[in-house]
Amino acid sequence: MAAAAAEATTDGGGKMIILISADGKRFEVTEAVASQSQLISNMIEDDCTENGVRLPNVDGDILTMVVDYCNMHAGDAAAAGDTMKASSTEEELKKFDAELVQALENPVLFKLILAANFLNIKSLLDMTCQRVADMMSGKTPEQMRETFSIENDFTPEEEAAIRQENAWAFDD
Amino acid sequence: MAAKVVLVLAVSLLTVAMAASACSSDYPPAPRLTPTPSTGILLLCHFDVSVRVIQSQCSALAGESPSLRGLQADTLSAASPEMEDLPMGRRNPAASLTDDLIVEILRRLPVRSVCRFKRVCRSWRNLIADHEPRKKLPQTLSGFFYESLNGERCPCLAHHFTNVSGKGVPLIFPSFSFLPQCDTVVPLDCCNGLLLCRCFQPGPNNGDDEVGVFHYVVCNPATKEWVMLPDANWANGETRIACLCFDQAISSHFHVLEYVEAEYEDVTGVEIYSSETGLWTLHESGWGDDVVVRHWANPRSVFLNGFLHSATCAAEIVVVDMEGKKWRTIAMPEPEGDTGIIHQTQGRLCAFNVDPDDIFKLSIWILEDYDTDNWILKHTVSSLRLFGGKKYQFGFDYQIIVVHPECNLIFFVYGWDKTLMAYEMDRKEVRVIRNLGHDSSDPYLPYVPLFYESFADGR
Repeated sequence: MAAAAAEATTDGGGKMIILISADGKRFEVTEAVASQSQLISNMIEDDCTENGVRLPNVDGDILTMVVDYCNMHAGDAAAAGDTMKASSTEEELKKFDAELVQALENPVLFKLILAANFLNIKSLLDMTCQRVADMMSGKTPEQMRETFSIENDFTPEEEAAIRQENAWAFDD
Repeated sequence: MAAKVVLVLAVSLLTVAMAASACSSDYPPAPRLTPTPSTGILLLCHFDVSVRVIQSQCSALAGESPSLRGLQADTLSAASPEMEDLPMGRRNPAASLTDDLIVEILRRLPVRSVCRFKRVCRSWRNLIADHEPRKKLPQTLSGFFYESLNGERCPCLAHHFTNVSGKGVPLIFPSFSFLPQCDTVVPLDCCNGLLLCRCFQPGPNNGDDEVGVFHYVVCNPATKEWVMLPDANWANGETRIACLCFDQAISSHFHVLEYVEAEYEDVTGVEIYSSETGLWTLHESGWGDDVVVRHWANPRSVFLNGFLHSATCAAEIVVVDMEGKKWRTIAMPEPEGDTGIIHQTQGRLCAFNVDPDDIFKLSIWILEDYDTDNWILKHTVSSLRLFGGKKYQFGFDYQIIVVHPECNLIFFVYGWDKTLMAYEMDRKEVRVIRNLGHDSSDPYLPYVPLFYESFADGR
């Protein structure tokens, strides 16, 4: 992946490919940017991105975020050779990442997780899963059911048994 | 005839498709799958199989609550046609998260939250309780190793493990049959998933006051890995107090520390084995004179923040790092009535005291500020409350086994039947876990499992 990034940026941008979202929005990005997705990176290697990459699983608004994220982080990968530049970029990146996940509301955050998983962008998946975990910590099972649209399928007896077994975990 | 063959083929293909749709965790998740337009051929040709599986899986799940994900394939497939028509925008995308993704989120939570979320629904309970996903999740106190001695049985020494719930199949079967062949295995210490044992070698019986030939073995009972340590520089027949120091949050390497004692048990130094170098290093004591480390009444040393803490007979805690460079002494909160019992809970050191004026009153103190010796009295409880109105004395009638690493729960063993019991400090509630049996004995070693390979190197 890093090798692909370096190659693409040697002539100031590299080859462009087109990503097409589920609702038909088109995004033109460099190969270096797109190949942060392991899925697309594999497709680039196999030379089958000629006619654009259709992503029927990803909405336009989600793909906008993903492309923004990849644009930001591809810059980092390209600058990795230059220590001075890389360190300043690192700070910017941290700020960008923090602002990105902080701003997200639940449904969008889950869509982003699904997109990051489908496109196989590990850093974005880590970041979004961490954000959900941070929100979940300290919540009650009832709040979790609401967040995840889960129905309680335990009998009252079963629920009481679990509560008893893990009594220490329920006291806050 | 030909038609029949085609029909059979069609049915078996359908079965395969149904089976595939049920295995949601093996495939990438399918967020919002709109009917794939023909221009999607590029992706389809490349990921033909997976996309088709995603599609069938997604259409089956569309609009369904995630608790349905555990259901049988036929139920899902039967539900699919009408679900496809639901507007995508109104569905909670969280309902499309696969089990893998839910585990990916859960593993980033504190262990306390994870246990609490067992109550969300069956599918989450199974994810958290099932053996394989659980390995990825944060771990907490799971149970205790202990021994039993029975002269009418051969061999008279047996190893046991009880789950912290007291119920179910023990998480660990402590036969230690995976260890290299030896006469007797004696577990000494347990630290964050690893176990330190003395493995006694078969050979001629030594005299009464002499200890047989042994080697130290450090093992991970969950993965059955083990490392045999080279012998330290102990004299023949000498048994030193040995402690295991391991915290994967600090390092993937472990240390074994032995107290080197002169006559009258005065500590003159420590000898530390590092799994990184594979060597023992002797360090002269930096604590001053007259330090005697406690080794009776089931004391436990505590490895916390990269330092080993052991109680002394002079109501102090001696502290040393794994390099043998930093030495410190912490005064116990109340020198009078000091039990010499220290543990750690929620990242803090704690110590137990018996009130000198009322020997049936037990207090627990917390070292609030690690840098100063600032102890805070956390809780006081009478043995009358703990043991059903009985006047039990610490050290004689009951033992303190451990404080739960995550919460305000103290574990005791008491009475003739060696009853294992937990006391919840906030609610002042007592819960009997189980009888361990009158022939059970020290050490009762608290165990937090470590499910991945621990000895990447250092052999």
